[in-house]
Amino acid sequence: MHKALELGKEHGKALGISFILIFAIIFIAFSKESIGVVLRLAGSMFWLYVVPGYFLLGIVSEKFDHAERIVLGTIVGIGAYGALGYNLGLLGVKFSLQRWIVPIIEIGAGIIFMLKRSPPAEESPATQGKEEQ
Amino acid sequence: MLAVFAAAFLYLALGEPWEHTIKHAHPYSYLASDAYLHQAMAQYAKDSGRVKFAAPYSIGGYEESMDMHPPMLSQISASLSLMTGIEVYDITMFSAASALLLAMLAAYFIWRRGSKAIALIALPTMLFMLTGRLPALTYWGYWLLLHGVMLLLAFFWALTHWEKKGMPFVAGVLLSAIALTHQPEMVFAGVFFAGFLVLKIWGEKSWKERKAAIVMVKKIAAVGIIFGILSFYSLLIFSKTYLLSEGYRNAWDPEELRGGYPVFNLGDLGLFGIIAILGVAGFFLMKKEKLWKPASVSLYCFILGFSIFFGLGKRGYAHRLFWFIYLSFFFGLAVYAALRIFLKNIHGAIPFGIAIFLMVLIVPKIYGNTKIGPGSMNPYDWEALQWIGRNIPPEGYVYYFYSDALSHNAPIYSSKRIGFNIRLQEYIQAIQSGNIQEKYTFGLADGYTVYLHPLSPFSFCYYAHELKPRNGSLECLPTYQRYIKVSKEDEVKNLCDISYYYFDKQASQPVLAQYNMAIREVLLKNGWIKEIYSNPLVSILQNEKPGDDCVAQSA
Repeated sequence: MHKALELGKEHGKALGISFILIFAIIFIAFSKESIGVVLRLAGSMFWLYVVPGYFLLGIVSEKFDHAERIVLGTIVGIGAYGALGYNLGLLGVKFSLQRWIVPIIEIGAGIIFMLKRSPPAEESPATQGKEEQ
Repeated sequence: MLAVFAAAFLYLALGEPWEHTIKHAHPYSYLASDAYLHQAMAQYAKDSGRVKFAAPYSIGGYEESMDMHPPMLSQISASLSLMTGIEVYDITMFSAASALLLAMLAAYFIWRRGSKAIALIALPTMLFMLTGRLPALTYWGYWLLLHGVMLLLAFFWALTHWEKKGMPFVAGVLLSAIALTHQPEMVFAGVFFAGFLVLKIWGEKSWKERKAAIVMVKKIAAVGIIFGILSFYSLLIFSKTYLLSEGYRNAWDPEELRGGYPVFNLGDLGLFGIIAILGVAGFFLMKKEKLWKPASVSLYCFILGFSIFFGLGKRGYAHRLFWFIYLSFFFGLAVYAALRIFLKNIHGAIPFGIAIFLMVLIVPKIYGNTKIGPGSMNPYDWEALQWIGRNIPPEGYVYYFYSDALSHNAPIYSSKRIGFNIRLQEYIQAIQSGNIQEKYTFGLADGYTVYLHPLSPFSFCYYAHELKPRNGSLECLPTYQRYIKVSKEDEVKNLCDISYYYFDKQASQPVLAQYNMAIREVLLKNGWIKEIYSNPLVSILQNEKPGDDCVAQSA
């Protein structure tokens, strides 16, 4: 439980900041749109792709920096949602259900792997900012 | 820096053409038929709750024919549209622009595996993707390709982290996703992956230790199992449709091999290209091991653009349109190497400063060029299409006389009814005759070449006719052969046999609209033909007595 709380604290902050950034990027591009629409778009992308992908990358033993994890996690999230959702659709599961259960499955899988991993993953050179400049 | 880049890209690529709003009254900034096709497919997926069958109105009326297009774009667009309440036509194009942005950011993170400084310098040059003829990727509707390239680059990124525990799982998911998005990229990813594994196995020094071999086998098996599970059914459909109708393109004619993509050659890279070539030379001279991973991805992707010399046609040519992304690594490397000549130690702020400088230089060159406005659709034709979907019975065929916005087939799918589009060449001949004709030539508005019907989950047959026979017979063949085209009787249509007529009152060539109106006037002289819908641009007529003479009496 304690480990789960720690994880929540660590990743919650990163995800919170990335949500604000995604919202801001969309809002700058579509400044004449209502905040409600932008908020709903950012929130939906966040739920369907960003958060699930972020946690799916938790399966990897590398501890990526937050930007890399958000960007590549989003692509993985899109890919995983599309692949899993399509196959569930073939089995008769409609979008109305897919949009809730697919992200939950992905997030759940990521969290289980992250909690299982012990000791904590070693930091990558990228995380440490020790890359060649 | 990434957030600034992302904001600048989205502002220029979609904010500007969309006039800084997300929701529109009709498909906005759509410039070609493919864009309408993809949004119509996603709309049907949303309407039916999943991606499985093709929209009946886009395949001559068949209810259960497998959607032969890769499912990913429809799957993600329909879901996002459902979540946001934003129309599918807006969400699908938003998704395409976002895919291009994510592809660039994925490339950045691959380049960063070699050097953060090089990646930073390379990043702003990817904005060249919004110059010249390249914005066509977004506005013409090459959206499967955009998503395919995004996933392809993410897959390559995963391979640069191959040694990390758990990464084969991610690579497997990404490879499956590519298979469900755009199969040519799956082949390109597979070839790279095979080469990557050969080099890994060749270069592994600890093969004598059994453990290393077991780990490698386990990793490859993980990718294979995930790929097999997630992409099996989609690839089964592919193997029975596109692979048979298209397969290896074997295209050699310089015009034909482009397959409609905008022309893009090495010369179009300009100064960027020259600097990138210097970067390639620098890379081989520097012999830095750390740069091998990003350099090999960059070079491989660049070379894909030359796969036209193996007869791959447009599937290879398409990758030329991404050369600004692929070669940005070598541009960054060249600038970085030049800096190293003058400075022994390069402070982290310098590449950052160069990146900002390049952004300031490039953004004004793009600003203003992407303001393309509403595109080929207008609110009146769109409203009329929606009205048809709500008010004309599903079995009713609509015959479209000339319309600027509906001159291609795909926009007509948005009416959700079977449509026949006037053949322009024959229509012009009719205009030149100066008379209202008894018969006009139409083409069935459909976009598929294979109608695959499932008999059970794993056995299929092929519908034989392009248009579902009206007598209800469903001739379904066990093996693939090109379907039987719509009969002349249906295509060369007697004006009086039509039930629903669609006319535009204005056109970019006024004579076309004038002739439309002349036919309309003749038809309306008959008491049994009535106008059932009208707006400032569109008039839809219904013939309550199809088959009765409607021209001779009124002429």
